[in-house]
Amino acid sequence: MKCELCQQNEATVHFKQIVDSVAKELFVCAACAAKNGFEIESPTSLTDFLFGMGVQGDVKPPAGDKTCPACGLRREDFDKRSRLGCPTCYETFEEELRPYLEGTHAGTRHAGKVPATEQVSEEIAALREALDKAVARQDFEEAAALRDKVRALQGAAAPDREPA
Amino acid sequence: MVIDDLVKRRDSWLLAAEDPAGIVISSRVRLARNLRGCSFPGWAPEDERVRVWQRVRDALGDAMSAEHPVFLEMPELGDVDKEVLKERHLISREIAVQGAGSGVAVSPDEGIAVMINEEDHLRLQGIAPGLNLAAVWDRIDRLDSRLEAKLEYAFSRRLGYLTACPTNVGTGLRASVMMHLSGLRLMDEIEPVMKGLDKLGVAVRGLLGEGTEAYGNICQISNHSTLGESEAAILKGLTEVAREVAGHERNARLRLMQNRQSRARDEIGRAYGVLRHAHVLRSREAIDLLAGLRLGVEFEVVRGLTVGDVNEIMLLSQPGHLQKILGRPLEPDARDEARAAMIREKLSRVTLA
Repeated sequence: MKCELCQQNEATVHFKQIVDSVAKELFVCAACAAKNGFEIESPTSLTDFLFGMGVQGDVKPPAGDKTCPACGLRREDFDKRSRLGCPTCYETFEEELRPYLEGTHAGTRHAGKVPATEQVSEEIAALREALDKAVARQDFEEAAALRDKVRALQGAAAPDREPA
Repeated sequence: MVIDDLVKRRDSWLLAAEDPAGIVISSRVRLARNLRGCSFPGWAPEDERVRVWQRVRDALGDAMSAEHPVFLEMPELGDVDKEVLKERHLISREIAVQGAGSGVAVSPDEGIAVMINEEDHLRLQGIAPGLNLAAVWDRIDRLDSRLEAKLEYAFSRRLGYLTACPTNVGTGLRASVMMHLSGLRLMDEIEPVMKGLDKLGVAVRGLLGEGTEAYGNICQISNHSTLGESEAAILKGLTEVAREVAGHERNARLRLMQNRQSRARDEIGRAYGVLRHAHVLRSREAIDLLAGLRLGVEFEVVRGLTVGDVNEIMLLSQPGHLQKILGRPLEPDARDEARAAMIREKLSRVTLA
């Protein structure tokens, strides 16, 4: 019997687990078992194995150890102050914030005003894509026209922006 | 400035009575904005806060050039000055205790106040008398658009404008309407209305903002959610709720005059009697009694006084204004006497029908 994961090697490891009184079985090779963090000697669950949550898999560090790389705010600082340290904290603590945002607000996606500069950057991205395609099909006339549009928009995006 | 001029002015929106029934006092819109690549003010070291103050002050000077704003940095203000600004809703209690790099830009009509380095780098506030959220938003939105061309805001496609507190993320918009709800209170109907508002996702606060009590029967209602809805939807929703609450209040006042006239007349008469003759008045007591007097003006029981006059007395009887007018700092006991004297004088020619 072939390994059910790699479909190449001979299956030598047999998982069996009762889930809601139904037996689930999986036959895998030793390499796949090792790759997914399964140790023959230690008990583990099929779910953990299949979803990469085996004993040797990536174990999440306790939440309290997380620190924002941009401003140095730690999870425990946020718990204490209820205020974030900088805009990057929204990425750093995305997981922790998600349930909070869902519970507090009407939605989870911004549906309001967008700064004009952001709108322009989206337009520029679309033009760039069209430009790449034009170059790929060697339509250089079209490409030049698109390039000029991108330049015009880039100029308009930051008329008198001060250095950040 | 300026602070000395502020307390003397009689043309402020604070004294205006846009709503003839006196139910809706004012409409306020606040936008929270932050700069990309900078720590939020509460987490930033002082030198960074001072740099942000300079950058934002320059950008605001340009963006508000037509308004001729006055910039006030916290360390240069005395305690009484700060009290006056708080009482006029131009600064918050939070920013009043900040040091270098925190301050406010105020337009001469006091309709716009931009706090710099409060909880966020910028807090743009627009305020006007009556129920007028759309017009106030329009003014603040235009200022915000002029500013975004000069300052790079912290913004994410998914979460919108990024703010120090996740309760403000998204639009960064907090709209609020200040209302005078004496009728509902005297009809003992304020509780169910407040509970209903809570279910609609509308927050209720006291006269002086977050964490303050609703004294003087004055409360502020504001939107709770800032993420997942557009600014227009938030403003429309709150305007509708404010109209509905004002409708309940009007209805309560009608029934009050029909069914509980003695109770209303008693409230007004007692307020008038104490305010007209007291020699020691605490701040909180004065505001509660002035709310009763205000009701008397609205019911045309009090003669020789307008709602605007009551608004003025309410403002002048607060500690900061009182001390500023008298030109010297006063201990609380002395303030209570000065307050009573000022009110006696203001009401000397006012009568009851």
